[in-house]
Amino acid sequence: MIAHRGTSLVELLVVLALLSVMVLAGAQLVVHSMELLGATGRAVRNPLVVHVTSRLRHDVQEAVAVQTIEWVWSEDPLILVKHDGTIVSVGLEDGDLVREKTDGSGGLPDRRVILRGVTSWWWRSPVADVVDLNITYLVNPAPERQVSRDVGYGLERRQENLRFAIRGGGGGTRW
Amino acid sequence: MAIVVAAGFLDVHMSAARRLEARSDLVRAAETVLESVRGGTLPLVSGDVDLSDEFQPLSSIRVQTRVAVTARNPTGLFTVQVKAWAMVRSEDMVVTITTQVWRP
Repeated sequence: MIAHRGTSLVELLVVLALLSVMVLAGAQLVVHSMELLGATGRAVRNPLVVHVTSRLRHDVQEAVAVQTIEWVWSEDPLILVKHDGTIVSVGLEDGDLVREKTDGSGGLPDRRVILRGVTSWWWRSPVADVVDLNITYLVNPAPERQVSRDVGYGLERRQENLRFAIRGGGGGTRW
Repeated sequence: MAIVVAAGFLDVHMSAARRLEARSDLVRAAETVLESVRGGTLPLVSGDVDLSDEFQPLSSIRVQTRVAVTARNPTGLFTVQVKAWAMVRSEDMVVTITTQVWRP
């Protein structure tokens, strides 16, 4: 006579426990990967930095000249002269990147902080129509290291190297 | 099974992150070349460009750049095509920007 032996309750519970552990571990990885995706998006296209670099790009490209040419890297404010006489100055003040725009009407300048957490600001004009910018600012860590941290914890430095050509008013020979 | 699937998700997201960073670097490299040509730092001629002094990528890729210049009508108008490329996770990634430059 063949004895048939079924699964005992203990064996069933052990299997269920193992499966639960595996599902929990897998769910944790899925959650981690979703958080990573969000962090990646924030890090790669930080909207504030994209906006600031876009503003600087337009300022330099629309200028007709740099007021004081610096052939070597300078920490002083970059002063740009536009075709309508408007003066735009960009410089570092107490960790803030400040943009000041003064038109020829004699009114008060439009002064704004365009980026906070800036640790260094350098610019140069290697040739007359080119401006190089070097900005270092604080950001949240890279996504894979940021994901398990609270926002703002352990900030890292990030450096932008930008080169723009001065074009002046529309339609000129520098376009 | 769940762990394998989740690990796959994680790898895809890591790969996406690297590729996004690399693409951002390539666009900035191409822009740097283009602005150098437009500003006169680089000559308006075709050829490979070494950007090691002017551009440092934010990600750990080695960017290579090349400029192709084609004369157009009227005289003084040029089409400038800048190509920036790099190897990202064993795949070639290429960014190309084409514009016109007026040098009468």
